[in-house]
Amino acid sequence: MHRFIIRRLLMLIPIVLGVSLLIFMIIDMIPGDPGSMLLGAGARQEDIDMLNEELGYNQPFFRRYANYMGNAIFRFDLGRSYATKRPVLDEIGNRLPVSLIVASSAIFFSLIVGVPIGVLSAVKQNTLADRIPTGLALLLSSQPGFLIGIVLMLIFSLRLNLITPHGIANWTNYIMPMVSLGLPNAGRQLRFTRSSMLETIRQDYVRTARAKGATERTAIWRHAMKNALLPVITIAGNNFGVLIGGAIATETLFGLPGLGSFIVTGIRSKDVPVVTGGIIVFAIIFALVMLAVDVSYAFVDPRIRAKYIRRKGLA
Amino acid sequence: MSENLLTVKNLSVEYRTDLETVKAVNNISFTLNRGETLGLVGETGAGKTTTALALMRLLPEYTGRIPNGEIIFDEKNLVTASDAEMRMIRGGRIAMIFQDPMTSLNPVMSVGDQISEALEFHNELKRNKEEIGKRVDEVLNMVGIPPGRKYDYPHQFSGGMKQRVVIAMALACEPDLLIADEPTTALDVTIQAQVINMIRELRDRLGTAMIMITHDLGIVAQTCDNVAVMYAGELIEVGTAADIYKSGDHHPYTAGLFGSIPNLKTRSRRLTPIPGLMPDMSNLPPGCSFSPRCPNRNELCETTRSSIYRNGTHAVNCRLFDGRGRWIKEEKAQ
Repeated sequence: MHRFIIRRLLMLIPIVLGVSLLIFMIIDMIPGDPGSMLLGAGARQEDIDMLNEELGYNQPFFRRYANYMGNAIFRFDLGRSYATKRPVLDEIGNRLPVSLIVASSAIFFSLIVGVPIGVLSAVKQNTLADRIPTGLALLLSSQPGFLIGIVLMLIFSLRLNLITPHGIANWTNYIMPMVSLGLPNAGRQLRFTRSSMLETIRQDYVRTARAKGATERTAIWRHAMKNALLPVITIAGNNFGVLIGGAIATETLFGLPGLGSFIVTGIRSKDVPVVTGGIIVFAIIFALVMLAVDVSYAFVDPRIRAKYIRRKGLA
Repeated sequence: MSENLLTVKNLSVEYRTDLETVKAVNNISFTLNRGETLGLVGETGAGKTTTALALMRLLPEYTGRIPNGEIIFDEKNLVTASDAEMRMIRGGRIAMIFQDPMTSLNPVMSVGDQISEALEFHNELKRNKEEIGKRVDEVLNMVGIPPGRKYDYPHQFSGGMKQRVVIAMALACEPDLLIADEPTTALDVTIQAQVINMIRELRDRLGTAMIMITHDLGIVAQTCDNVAVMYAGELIEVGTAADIYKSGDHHPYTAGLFGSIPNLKTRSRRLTPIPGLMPDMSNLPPGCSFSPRCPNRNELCETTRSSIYRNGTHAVNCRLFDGRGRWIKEEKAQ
């Protein structure tokens, strides 16, 4: 197993190189230069040129890329933001925990809500206990998370005055982002769990379990659930990765200093180190989450485990 | 303790959907004594598995139902038994071996856990964990699998070995009745013989009654005391193995089944299969359901249900015998 993990970790190197090159190229293709973006419309051309020179933006593309990656790999330095002059790595270090907390709490919430109700609606297929949750899930998952955020804000901040709607001063600040990102994800999770479960509870081995005298609860939770879990884990892992860097609207709405809004600000001002650094970190985290997903497959399914572990001699 | 273990009276099973009602089993009756084996024979789709699932009350929840009939198992009617009562019976007193060992074992549970589960559900002897473990080793030995392999998962076993595990699982609680639903259909021929021999041997050793569901007349001849031939959800011929294999009086369908088996002793160029297909079970013919394919049919066969001809233990559900114990087709022809 650890060989597999090491191999996957080594794969991070080409991933980081590829992602950074791509991002570098894409930003380069966007019209405009950081000098004029930073100094604004009224600036003199000499000042703009001077600033671009100072930022190293006038050097050829591959030299800039090589410099950047050289620093990133050998000095663990992702450069300084063109706009704020602060080291990108420090900035990410401050923002990443916020994103991680928001994403993991939202995924946790979506699993706690989505999976049990998904199983329930599969078991009670085509009854009211199925129709109402799946209908609600469709409604929830087909609208953006910040809409729920706004509704929550209106109720809990404006009306009830329970939670301050902005910032990260207090752990309670994380509740509304968790729910507003978690609910649409819970809806998706519910629908995936339901369809996966519907397929599994019709399998022969679930019938075998019943034929052994298992209660309905044992047949479903012990025999069907573990088999239905793989797609559920996959979706949760994917959603988690997306939330780390993609919860921009929610981050903006609740004034959360997260990774998503950081990258978006960088894109707007052509802040190459910010965008590249942010996306490299995002890519690494995404790859690590996917690795965690794959490893957890092996825990759930012995057939997958068998592929990773060489058996100690055949019995 | 009476000799009789299982009596099925006028049992019918339907599968109901919004579109149609499929009458999968129609008014079948049979009995089974302790320690005896009944062979349930018929082509695919005849309702054999449905009968077995009805006995276990494992019919599909929303579609399958039993509109009429009784299943008296050890003086208890299983049709009206509560779910809790059925759970005690399933796996404990009636166990089932399913057709396809590839799919009937849970891929994410070790085989030892799957066997010990049955013992935990029916722990009348109040065994503790260790004793259950010992019993698992015992049953694995019984089916010829080294007990050390109980920590392995189903994907690490071959098809034949998997079916042995399924058999071990079924026999772990020493049931009174074992239902074997085409236990060898999914296995290749060399393994088939092994598995059938093993089932037969274990049945004799444990004194278990058995219902052997198969379409293989050879297996029936090897294992069964009594035979019931099923066609389109009805039992069309019931008798002892001798009645079926030795006597000359047969339902035309049974005769057709025997005609479809190659015989090494007599020289024949071709097999004589039964022409046609089984009728649509959602739209059965008004008369005898075999009449559309029957070589001996007459007009009456097509419009009215046949009556049962009995001769001792042998019963044939065909009007051509018409209670007189004679083949009456010739009479008609004259």
